[in-house]
Amino acid sequence: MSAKDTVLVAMFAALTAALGLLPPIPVPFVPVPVTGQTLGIMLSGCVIGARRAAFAMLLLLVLLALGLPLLSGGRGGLGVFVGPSAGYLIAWPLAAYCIGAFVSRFGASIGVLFLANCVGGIGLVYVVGVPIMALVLDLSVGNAALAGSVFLPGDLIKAGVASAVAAAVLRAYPTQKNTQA
Amino acid sequence: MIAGLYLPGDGWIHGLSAPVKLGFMFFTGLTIVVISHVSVMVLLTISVGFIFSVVAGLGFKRLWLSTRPLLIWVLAILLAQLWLVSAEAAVLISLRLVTLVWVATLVTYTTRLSEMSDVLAAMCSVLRPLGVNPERIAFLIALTIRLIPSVFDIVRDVRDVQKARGLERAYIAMFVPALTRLLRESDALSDALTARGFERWGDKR
Repeated sequence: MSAKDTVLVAMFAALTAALGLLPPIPVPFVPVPVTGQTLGIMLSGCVIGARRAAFAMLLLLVLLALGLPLLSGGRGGLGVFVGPSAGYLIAWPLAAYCIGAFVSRFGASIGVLFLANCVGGIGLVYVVGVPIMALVLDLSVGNAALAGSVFLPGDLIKAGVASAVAAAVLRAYPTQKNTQA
Repeated sequence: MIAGLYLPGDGWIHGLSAPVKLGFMFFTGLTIVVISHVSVMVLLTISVGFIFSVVAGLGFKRLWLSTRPLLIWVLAILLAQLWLVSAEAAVLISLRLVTLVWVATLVTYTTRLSEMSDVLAAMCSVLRPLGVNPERIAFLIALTIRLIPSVFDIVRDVRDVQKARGLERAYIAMFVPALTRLLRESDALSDALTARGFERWGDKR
């Protein structure tokens, strides 16, 4: 890991943590508060590349396990890894890697970014998160998916925002410096 | 601004070493998952709750605070299981969830961040032959903790700036300058590290 890798990994782990500290953004017609942390995963994957983004998310999970309250609502500690939403957390590094890999393969146009965020940031997170939620709550996967789907509208909005932001950032700041390696 | 969840105390649970507590947590977790009798589970839940609030001296208020985020899930379990299976299963699964979270939270509340980091460092040095460098990981963790308030300030600054322009609901106009600033700061920071010989840290010591 070069100095640049190290700093970007730490910076985007910190960004994702800071997005959880900001007050949740109220969105009309969505029953659950939309927190910024999914946005952090998507932005990391799009902007700093697959490997670094995955490391950033892994680092955030390590900090949580060490006992720092970095999830939205000041949650953290080992308790979050045995609760119903543990699977969503475990999926973060995978999701960030998937988004980054998608973007580096298919280019960084806003359409590709949106698709990458939907596949990695929503699809993959749900694929890992929902069965674990089903396991913890002893529900059928179908019922768990139904319960998890309340987050879907908010997540789609976040995928849209993240894609638009990432596209603008990649244009404003030289791409090859960020996404390579 | 960034403080761990550790709560100082002088009970004997605070005095146990972190690996012992983590081992205990793992063992209890397995036990909880294996138990299938409601009466045994109730007994275990009560004893874990007692250990949490009285023996470790964290009090009932903390116990309640760590249970509160779970209530919505417990409600979901009760509804789904009552409808699909039985009241017994619903109680068993709810208690399982609550007790697991209590045990894990107990470890976090009674163990210093530094002790947890020591466990992590020990784990990392086992992985050293695979190319994991514990010094680098320690630096990465310290750097991230240091950067969280800075990132928070940057995001809040940009938010205030856009608010002054009447753009407080324009999330894209808010995040683009914030992220660009983060990337610029990252470049400055990595240049500073490189200038101080970061690339060769921990090579031979």
